[in-house]
Amino acid sequence: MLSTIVFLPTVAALLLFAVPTAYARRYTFVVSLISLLLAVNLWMSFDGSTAAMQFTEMVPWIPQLGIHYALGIDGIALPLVALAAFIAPIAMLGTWPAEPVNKEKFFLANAMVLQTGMYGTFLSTDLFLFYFFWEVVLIPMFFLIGIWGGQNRIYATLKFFIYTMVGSLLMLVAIFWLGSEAREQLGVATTLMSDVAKLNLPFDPSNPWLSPQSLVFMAFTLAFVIKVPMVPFHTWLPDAHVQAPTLGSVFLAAVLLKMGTYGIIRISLPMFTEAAMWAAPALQVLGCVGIIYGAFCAMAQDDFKKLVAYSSVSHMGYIVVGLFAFQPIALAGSLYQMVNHGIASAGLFLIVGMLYERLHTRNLNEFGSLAKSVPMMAIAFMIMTLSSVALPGTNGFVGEFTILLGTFQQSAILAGICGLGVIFGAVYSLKAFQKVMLGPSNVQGHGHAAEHGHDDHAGHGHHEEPAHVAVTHDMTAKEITAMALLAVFVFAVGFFPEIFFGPSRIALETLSQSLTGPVAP
Amino acid sequence: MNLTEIFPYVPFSDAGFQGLLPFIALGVGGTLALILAPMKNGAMLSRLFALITLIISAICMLQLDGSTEVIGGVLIMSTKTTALMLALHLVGIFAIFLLSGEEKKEALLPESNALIVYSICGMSLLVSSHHLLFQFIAIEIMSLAIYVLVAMRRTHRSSAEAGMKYFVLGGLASATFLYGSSLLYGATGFFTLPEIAAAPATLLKTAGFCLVLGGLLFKVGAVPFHAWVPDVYEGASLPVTGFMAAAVKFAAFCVLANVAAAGLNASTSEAVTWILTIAAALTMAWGNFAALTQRGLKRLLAYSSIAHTGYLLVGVIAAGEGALSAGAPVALYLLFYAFATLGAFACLQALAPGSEDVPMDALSGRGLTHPFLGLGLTVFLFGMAGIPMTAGFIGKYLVFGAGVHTGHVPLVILGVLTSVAAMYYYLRIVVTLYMKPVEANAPKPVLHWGAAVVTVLCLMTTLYYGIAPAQIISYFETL
Repeated sequence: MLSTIVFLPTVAALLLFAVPTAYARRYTFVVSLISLLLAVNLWMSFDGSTAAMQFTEMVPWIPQLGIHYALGIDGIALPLVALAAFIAPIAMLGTWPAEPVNKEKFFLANAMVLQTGMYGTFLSTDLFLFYFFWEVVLIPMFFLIGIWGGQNRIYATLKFFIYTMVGSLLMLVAIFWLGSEAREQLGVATTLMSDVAKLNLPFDPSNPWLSPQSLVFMAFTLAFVIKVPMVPFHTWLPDAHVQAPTLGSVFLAAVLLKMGTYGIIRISLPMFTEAAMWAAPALQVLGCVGIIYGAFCAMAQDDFKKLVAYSSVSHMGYIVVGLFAFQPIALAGSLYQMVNHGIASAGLFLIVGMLYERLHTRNLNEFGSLAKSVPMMAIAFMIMTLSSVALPGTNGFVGEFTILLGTFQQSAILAGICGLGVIFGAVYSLKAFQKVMLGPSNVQGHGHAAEHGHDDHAGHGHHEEPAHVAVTHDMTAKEITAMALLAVFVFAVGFFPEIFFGPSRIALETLSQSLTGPVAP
Repeated sequence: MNLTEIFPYVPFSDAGFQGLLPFIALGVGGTLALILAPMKNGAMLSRLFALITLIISAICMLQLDGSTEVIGGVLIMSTKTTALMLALHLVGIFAIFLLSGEEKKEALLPESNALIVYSICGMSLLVSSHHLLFQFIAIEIMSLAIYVLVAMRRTHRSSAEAGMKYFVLGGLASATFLYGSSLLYGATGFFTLPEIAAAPATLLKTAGFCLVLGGLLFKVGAVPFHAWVPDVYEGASLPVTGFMAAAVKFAAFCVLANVAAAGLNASTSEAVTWILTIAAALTMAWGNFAALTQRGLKRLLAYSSIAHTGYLLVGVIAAGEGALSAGAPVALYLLFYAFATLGAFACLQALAPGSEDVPMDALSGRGLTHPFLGLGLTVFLFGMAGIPMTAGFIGKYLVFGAGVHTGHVPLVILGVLTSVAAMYYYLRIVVTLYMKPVEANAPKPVLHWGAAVVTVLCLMTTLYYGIAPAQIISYFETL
């Protein structure tokens, strides 16, 4: 069952070459719907009363090295798989172009292989397999940004690839080392996560930097925090986001960043607990810096897409703070926030993409007063903004509030500083909304309707009156469907979080018991 | 001392003669191909003969029972050496396929097919021998053929220069190797590696090992003996360059691994470990960083081949120090690298027809206009970069895994960090392929059937062993 979910997109991508270009996008959309149905089916048959891995599949893959093709799902992976499956059709709908893009099939094939990598990363229960899928994700993203990106796409895509690679190669060395340790300690080579967790990795509090456990922890965690991205490893993100095509941005923000935090919760915390506790204060401080720094950077942006990208840096900071708080509530909040940020950032990037397609600009100073011409989009934008600023009643509130609550139990000061981030978040998000949708129109005649009238108006001070009310058309039916689905999710989870996160509760409780166990007197 | 001491007389058994058959076949067949070459239709005839010769020799090898010793154990035709020799034969066949597409363009003489056969003969002798003098002769057989192949690209003015450079420096390296073996003989009284390793350590023995290793490090292109590599790769025609990167490196590494294992097992191990460790570190760092600045693809791939030498040296050290499954990681890495390299050169041959040193710009935008070649080259480059789903990743995993297992963690960390630089220059090629517009007056790619066959076969191998490597790993481990 899990293998089907993982490999369906890739198989479909191979078959795509037999599909006529005119139908390629519809075909891809149908495939993503099938994936979604499979995920829903998985959700239905998932047993939330146990923390063990379910639907496990295990086949020896490279037995000489103890590498298994091992998949499994538990309450922690489930919401993320569901997120990936939910986002895929929405991203397709929300970015449906009027004309096929250049090399349409190759574009769509990349998008599908990307999904295989995402599902695989969330479902692997073998470290080698995890690494395998982790890297597989890079390749389609590399092409998506590099071929269909903006002006500066080559720089952005190389930076994205190399940055992520630096971290993951050290992770690879750590996997070698763990495999070799397993051979010594357990007598058999293995990279299964469950076996690696059994290894006795010495941690010496008097020499924490050079203890084997800390070294392995650092190797893994560096890879993860680069992906998150945590300040100061975040600089690839604004470039990649701004240059990526909308579909790429949506996947990147909604799902790919979560792979980093998922790695922390799946590998760094449970397997190297002592080292994680030792490093937690530093990582929390960096997470906190990320929240504030990301928020300030977002405030200073004129580029709408860059603003959303920096807001991702800020919001992902909460997850890092929450994960390393070693508090059950904060841990749960981190998982919630992973999904919720995925939804909100996907929505915001879709809005940016829609506006760009209509007005060919991302400069916040060149919008304004659009709410009159695109009311539906304004509503969708507002909902996503509210979710992003964590208004009670939206899903964003569930995540960030829980993290802050948990962190408060650990350190009131830290929680207080993080709380400031929520306020800053409101400032830049609402500023963006105001500049785009409200106020005087600064549209420079990029729009379809404005093209003819542009010359007449130039120099006549059209800033005073919103002359371009009919500046562009509102959302199409497909776009409305995409945003409506996101909006439903925002409010459903906002009011009834238990629906979505219920199955994860036992897994989270078990994990936090195993984490906080060692410190309990 | 007389010759019978060095080569003690052993009655020549039928089994021993059978063990020599492949080499006889190679020698005779190569000569026939050479004689046929100047005739009418010589290109076709000599190509055909060369291919048939390689196939016959491979069949002769497969007939052996896997433990044949020839001339009193000077040549050992074990299952392991047979597997290595078969791999070399395959590379040779691929090289002849590639040559068929370049003969006209580069005005290569048809004799080059015969030279490939001769050099395969030398390489096969090289990987199957434990006797230093035999190895020296085998190196010379292999190298002389390659010197000529390099210098044969008659349309290109730097070809003769490259051939000469390679010849002079290669002669120096051979002399170093020979001098080292004479010191080893002086120190121990043996030319065969197992006996040399078992003999007590003396300063002379250490010096001998150092010199022998120095000669071999030259052949594999390790820093600081690497300066010839870029010039020779640039001067030679594409198929010859591919053949050198795949086969010469393969054979030279096999013998290097043998010598290093003998040195590391012996009590001289400290000096040998240091030499190899320093060479590995320098090679990985220099090869990768120098490749960053290259504009011509042949020079870039030359430096990248130097970098691969560095990774392989890590595996050689690990194998010599008794990592699990000894030489298997190195052998597999070499095999996977050979496929990736030959495939990459086949694609370059098709993508950049008529350009002498294959500038990067020749590839601009070709990935989208020629999807098959684009896909091929991308997979081969990813294979060299060690990205999952390709065999190159498995090779790198095995080699670095063995390095970590024997406690060379700093070396492995240096390896992975420098391979980030490698990632960058390989990606630059992929970027050019897919993300730059096609040059206005760039020549149209021409895919010759030989290059197409090689590309398809290498592509299948690279992907297959990247996804399902278990079988071949266990095959090489049990050898």
